[in-house]
Amino acid sequence: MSTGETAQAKRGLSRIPFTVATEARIKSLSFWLSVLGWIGLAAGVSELVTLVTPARNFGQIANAIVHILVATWCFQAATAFKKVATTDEADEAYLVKGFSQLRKIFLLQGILVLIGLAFVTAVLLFLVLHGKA
Amino acid sequence: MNERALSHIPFQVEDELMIHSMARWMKFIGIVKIVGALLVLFVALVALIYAGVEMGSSSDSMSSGKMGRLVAENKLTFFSLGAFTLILAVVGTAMGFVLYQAAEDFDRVVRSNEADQDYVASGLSQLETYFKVSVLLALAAVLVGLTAGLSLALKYGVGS
Repeated sequence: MSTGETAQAKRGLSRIPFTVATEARIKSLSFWLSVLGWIGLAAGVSELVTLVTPARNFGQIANAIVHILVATWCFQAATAFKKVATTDEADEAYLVKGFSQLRKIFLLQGILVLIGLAFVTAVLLFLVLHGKA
Repeated sequence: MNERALSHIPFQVEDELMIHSMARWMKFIGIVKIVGALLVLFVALVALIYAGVEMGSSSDSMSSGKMGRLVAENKLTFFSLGAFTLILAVVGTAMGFVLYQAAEDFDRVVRSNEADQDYVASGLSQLETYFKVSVLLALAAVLVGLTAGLSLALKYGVGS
């Protein structure tokens, strides 16, 4: 843990008394986030590999960056949630760290959805205006 | 509810703001998933009904095109794919709802101080369901797609 992380870990509750069942669910959440991370990493690496083939394009670079970013955040969230369930050193700080990484994942997904919707709207507008002309 | 659970977890103001922001984006993604899955459900249902009616009728319109002929010759494969798409859409709708519920729980952690720990536990539990089902569903979709693709490729011969 770095100095900054240690300082953050010292604030807040060291132990949140989750039940055994809840801790099991949190461990399971950590496991599935890790699986998602590995899938994202595999997808990102395969995008990077196709960059060396003649069929490469700029979209693949963006895809690879998104996949690798999401994978990294998944791994970090998984580690934080695992520590909430398995240690009693800084439960609140690890919970906040996990939430912070999840927020990044959902924020990125949300922005990508908004960009996609903007593209669809632009195409529809173009078709409507072009059709009238 | 856990009787020893903390009614208040003393999150700092910036942490509460971050959790509120996370909940807002989770709700947005949840709604997008619900709307998207319902659209897929509608399109898949219409396609299945249309294909069923076309195959049931004596007209040759379905078998005239290349795609129509392919579907007519592989009814079981395409109806299985259609049924799987319907299942995906229904489960996708449910997962959007689960994500929205998880976001509601995290939002309650920020808005109230009545049962913070229970709301965190409930939200995390729903997130676990969401990620688990999403990963398993994605893997199942890849397997089903590969199986259908391979069976069609073997039947018609690759490249011929």
